[in-house]
Amino acid sequence: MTTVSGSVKVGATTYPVTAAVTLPVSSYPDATNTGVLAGTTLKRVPQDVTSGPGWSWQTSAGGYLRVDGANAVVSGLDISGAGGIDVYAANATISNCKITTAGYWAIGVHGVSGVKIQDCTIIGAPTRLEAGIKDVTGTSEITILRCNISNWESGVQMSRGLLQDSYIHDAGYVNGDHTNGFTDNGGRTDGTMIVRHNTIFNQIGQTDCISFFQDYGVIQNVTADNNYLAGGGYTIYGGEGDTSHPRVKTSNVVITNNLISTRFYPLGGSFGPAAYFDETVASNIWTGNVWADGPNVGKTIPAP
Amino acid sequence: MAVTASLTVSPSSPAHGATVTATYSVSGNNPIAPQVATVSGDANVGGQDFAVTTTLTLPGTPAAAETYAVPTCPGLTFTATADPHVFTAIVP
Repeated sequence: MTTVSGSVKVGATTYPVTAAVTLPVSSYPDATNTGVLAGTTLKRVPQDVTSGPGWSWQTSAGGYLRVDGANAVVSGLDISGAGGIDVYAANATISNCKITTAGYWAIGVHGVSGVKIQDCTIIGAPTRLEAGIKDVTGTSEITILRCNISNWESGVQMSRGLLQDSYIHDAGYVNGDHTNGFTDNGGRTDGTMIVRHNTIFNQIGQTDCISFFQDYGVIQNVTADNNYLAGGGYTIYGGEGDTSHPRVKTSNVVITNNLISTRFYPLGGSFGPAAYFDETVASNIWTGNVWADGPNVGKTIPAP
Repeated sequence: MAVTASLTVSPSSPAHGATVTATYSVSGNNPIAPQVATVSGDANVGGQDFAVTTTLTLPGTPAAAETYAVPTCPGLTFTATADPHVFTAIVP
């Protein structure tokens, strides 16, 4: 039970009033329900531990954690001040880890499938990360759940799998950055990409919170559903258009039930809530996207 | 009449994405119409009392101005609507 408080001033007298409301138990992701689980005691890498099931610490390239054993499990680790984690093994699980780095990525996945990343805290420090989690080859398949990712140029960059229940926030910036909360650069020919029930805040007024771009090929079979978003240039890019490839129509681009907040910009993003969505393709769906707050709170955001 | 104020929220158990409406209501802040009053007196003239009366109309009082604060609630951001009594928020 939560209390709604207000007051009415009648003449010179103010009357405080309250009402009760029961909000849903699980809200959109935030710092309280993402990242390393409370109460976890992490082991430092490499100070406390240098290897585990399917993984080992590498001293080359400034130090990084290499995952190359089938069905590897990387859990309960604190990796700070060096490279992050590079995954070369299918079906690896990375859970309950804290990664603090200013490298190219905190977790990079190199062309393997079945990789699960959950309950991880990723921090770009001392300067911003290029990517929090990245499909380095563009051919991987990754499931990301309940991660807390901050200070990035791209929070998550991948094109196949699931990003769900995660909190991607407090973007970083250096000159020349294109700042993406989540981005899919296109080109995948099979599988799906689902971005569901995340909070993605990009306070920097350029690029996006969620973007589907046809940088490397067609965008197809992607879903952005029930996310809480704010910021970017356009908050959502819908995949249409390209800059370097023959123009190909998107298909099965499903953008539904997202809440776009005006917390950073009156239009959601500095330019607007969304762009580059092709309504002329029957399989592309835009519905149920609404303003989370501001003067148009609750009103439907039409397809761009 | 005493003034009382209240706040209601609907729905009381909203789902994610639902719109919550907070509505103020005030009672007792009523205007008072002009009223006729009788003034009574008594005059004594040479030992004889004379009862006298007159009437006058007392001015009415308009209802006091009402202003409504934006409701606050952890996890909700209320915004005004065209009706000053009513505020809405989306449940994130």
